[in-house]
Amino acid sequence: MSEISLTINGKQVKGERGDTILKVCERSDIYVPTLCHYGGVHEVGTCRMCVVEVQGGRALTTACTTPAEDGMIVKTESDAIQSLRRATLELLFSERNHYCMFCEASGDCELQALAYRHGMDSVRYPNLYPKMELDTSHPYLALDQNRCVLCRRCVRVCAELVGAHSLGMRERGIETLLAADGGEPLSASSCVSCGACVQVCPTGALFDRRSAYRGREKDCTTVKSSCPECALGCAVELVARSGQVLRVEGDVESPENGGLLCRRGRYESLNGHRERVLQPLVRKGGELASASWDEALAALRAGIEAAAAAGGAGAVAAVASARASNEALAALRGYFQQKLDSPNVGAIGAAASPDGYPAATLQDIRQADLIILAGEDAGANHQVVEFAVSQAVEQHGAALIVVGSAARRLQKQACVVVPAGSDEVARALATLTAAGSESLKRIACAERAVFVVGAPVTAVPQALAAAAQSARDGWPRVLALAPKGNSRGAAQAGLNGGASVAKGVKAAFIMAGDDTEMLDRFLPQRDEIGFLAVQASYRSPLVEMADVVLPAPVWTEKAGTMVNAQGREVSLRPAVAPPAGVRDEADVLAALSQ
Amino acid sequence: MAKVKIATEWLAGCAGCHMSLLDLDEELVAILDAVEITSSPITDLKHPPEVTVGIIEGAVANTANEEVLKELREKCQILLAIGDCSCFGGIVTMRNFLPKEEVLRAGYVDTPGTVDGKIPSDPELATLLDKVKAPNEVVKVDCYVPGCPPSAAAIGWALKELLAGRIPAPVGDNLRYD
Ligand code: SF4
Ligand code: SF4
Ligand code: SF4
Ligand code: SF4
Repeated sequence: MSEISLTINGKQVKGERGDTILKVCERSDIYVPTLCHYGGVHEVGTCRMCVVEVQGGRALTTACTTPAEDGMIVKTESDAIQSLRRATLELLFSERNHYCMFCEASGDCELQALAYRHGMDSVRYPNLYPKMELDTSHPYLALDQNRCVLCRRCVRVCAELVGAHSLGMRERGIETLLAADGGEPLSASSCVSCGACVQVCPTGALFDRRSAYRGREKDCTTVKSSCPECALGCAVELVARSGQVLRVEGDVESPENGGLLCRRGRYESLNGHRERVLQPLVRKGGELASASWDEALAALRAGIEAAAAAGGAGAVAAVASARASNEALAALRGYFQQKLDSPNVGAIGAAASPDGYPAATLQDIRQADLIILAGEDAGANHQVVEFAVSQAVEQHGAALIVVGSAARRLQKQACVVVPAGSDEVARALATLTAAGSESLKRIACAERAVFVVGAPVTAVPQALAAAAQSARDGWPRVLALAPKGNSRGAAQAGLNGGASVAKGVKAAFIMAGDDTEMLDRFLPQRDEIGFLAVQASYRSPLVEMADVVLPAPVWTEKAGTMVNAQGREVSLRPAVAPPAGVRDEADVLAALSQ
Repeated sequence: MAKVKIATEWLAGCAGCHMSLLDLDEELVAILDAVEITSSPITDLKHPPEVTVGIIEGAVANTANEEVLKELREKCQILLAIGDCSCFGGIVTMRNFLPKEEVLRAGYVDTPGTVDGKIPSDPELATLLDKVKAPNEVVKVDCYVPGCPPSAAAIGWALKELLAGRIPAPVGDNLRYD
C-alpha cells in the first residue's frame, strides 16, 4: 500500500492510494459533514453535503466520491462551501415534509443535526408539500416517505451487507421514491426483517415500531451484550429506558456481525407479551401457590434429595438449556454432579466443535473464495451467516456449493447445488469428492475454503477436508452451526445433548431460563418424572405441572458468559434489572450446593 | 435612554410562542426596563405604531394574516419570526395536503356535534388562502428563532441580541425545531 500526502485546510496529511478525499479526512480527524455516506457500503455521493474545494478543480466536488491524489490541495471549509451545504439542506427540507415537532427521530436525526450545525433557521425555497405514504404493513418496522431524503443508505445496506436486495428506488427526479420490491408493502416484500435498514436510516423515515416515541438516545441507556438466540452470539447493544428494553441493535463496532442481526436477534428476542414467572411457586395440596425463596429452595432440596436417598444418584436428573450461561451451568453441575453425583446432567442444544480445523469466523466467510454449505439451512436458522455468504459471493466473487437444503437466495447464488433430505446430507456431501467432479476441482484449487456445517452434519468428511487442504496454512476453516447461544460452552462443560430425561429418574430439575421451547419437550415425559422442579422466566404448560417453580431472569437482565460457535467467549450484560422476586440462576443454584 | 419599541403579532399559530415569551418570567420584567411592548395579543392593542422590532408568531393561512403581516412589516425596522410556523410554515401547513374546501367542511360542517353547520362567508371575514405559507414567502423577514415553540431562553437571547444592536442568528441550544 503506498502512502500519499495531501494538504487539507493548509495542513499536511497522509492517506493511502485508493482513498477518497473523505477517507483521508477521516484518517486525520478532519470533520466533513455527510449524510448518504455509510461505512461498509459503496459511496453514491447523492446528498452533496460533503462538498469540498480541490485546488485547480472546476467546481466544488463531493469528498466521498473523489479519489485522493498525491499532492492535492483541498479545502473543507469556506464561505462558498458553507453556503452550498446550507442550500442543500434547505432543499432537502423543502422537498419533503419535515415536522420535527412530532417526528419520531427528532433529537436523534442526522438531517436535523446537520441543519442545526449549519445554522439553518429558515428556508429560502417554498416547501413542496408532496402527499406521501406511510407504510405500516410490517410488524417490526415502518417507512414514512415524508421524512426520506433518498440517501439510499438502506438500499445499499440491504443489498450489499444483507444480500436481500429488497429495497430500491422507483420513479425519477423529484418523484423518486424508496420502494420495496418495486412498490410492494414491506410486509409482502422479500424483506427478511433483519432491521439493518432501520439502524442505518439517518432520518425518521425508517423506524422501529416497538421503540417509536419511547425515548431519544439521550434519555436511554445502551449496554453491550451478546445475542443468545444461536451460537453465533452476535454483538448487540441493548437500548433501555425506565427499566424496559426498547430495542436491540447490532453493535457496529463488532468485526464479526458489524451491526447486522437477524430477525430473531433483533426482534423476536424481546418478547414482552409472555407472562413472566414473578415469584417462587410450590405445589401445596395439588395447587401451585406462591412461596418465599427459602420455602421454595427447601421444597426443591427435599424433593431432589428424597429421590436420591430412595433410588440413588441415578434417580435424579438435571437438564439445562444450552442458552444458560457458563456460570449457571457451573452452578448446576456443582449441585447435581459434584454434590449429588448424579450421572444425568445434560444441556439441550449442547454441541461440541468439530475437531481438527480452525474455526471460521464471519470475517473468514466474507473473505473466503469457496464456501461449502452443508446440512441445516443457514438462512432459516442463522440468517447472519447467510448474509456473510451472500456478501462473499456477490461482492467478492466467492464460489458457493450447497449440499442439502438452503434458503432460495443461496440456492440461486450457488454454482453447485446437491439437493438432499436431512438423512442424506452426509452421503451427498461425500459425492462432492467423486473423482473428476466439478466440485472437486473447485475445492482443490480454493485458497480459502470455508465449510459451514449444520445438523445433521457435525464434522467435515475426511476426504473432503483433505481435498481442500490448500497451499495456505490455516485453511480450510469450519463453522459448525449450533442451535443455542451457549451450545459450545455447555459441551465444553462436559454436558451432553440430554434430549430427554433417562428412564428411572424420579426427580428432575430443569433449568430453562427464557428458553420456553425447551420446556415443551418434556411435556410427554411429565408423568414419568415424579418430582419436577423448573427454573423458568415465563409461564408455560410444563411450568403449570411442576412441583417447584423458580423464577428466572431473561437474557436482557443477565450477566454471564457464553462460548460462541467459534469457541470465543462472549458476554451477557444486563440492560435492566429483573423484576423484584426474580433471582440470578447461578446464585440460586450455588446456594443449594452449600 | 428611550425604550426600544416592540410590537408582536399572532398569525396562524397556536399562541404557544407567545406563551414561551411570557415564560421568560422575571427575566421579561428585566427586559421591559429597556423595551416597550406596544401592540401585541397580550396588550390587545389592534394596530402597531411605528416600532423598531416587529415579532411574529404563526404562518400565513388567510387574508387577514397577510394584511396583518404586511402592516407590521411596514411599521417595523426589524422583523423577527419566532417559532416553526413563522420560520418555516410549521404545523399549520399540514392542511396543505388537503383541498381548501375539504378543510373548511371539516371545520364547520362535518365536525362531530355540529348540526346544520355552514361555512361562514361574509365580506367582513377573512378567507383562507389555497395554501398556508411561511411569512418569508409574503414579506422580507430579517431574523428567525425556530422551535415549536422556541424556548423562553432562546427568545430572551434573541431580544438581548437585538438590544445589543445585533441581528440574532441562533446556533447551539438556541436553534431547535421541536
Ligand atoms: S426526519 Fe429529522 S429533520 Fe425530518 S422531521 Fe424528522 S427529525 Fe425533523
Ligand atoms: S429489514 Fe433487512 S431485509 Fe428488510 S428491507 Fe430492511 S435491510 Fe432489507
Ligand atoms: S429511508 Fe432512510 S436510509 Fe432509506 S433512503 Fe430514505 S432516508 Fe435514506
Ligand atoms: S411554532 Fe409551534 S408553538 Fe409556535 S405557534 Fe406554531 S405550533 Fe404553536
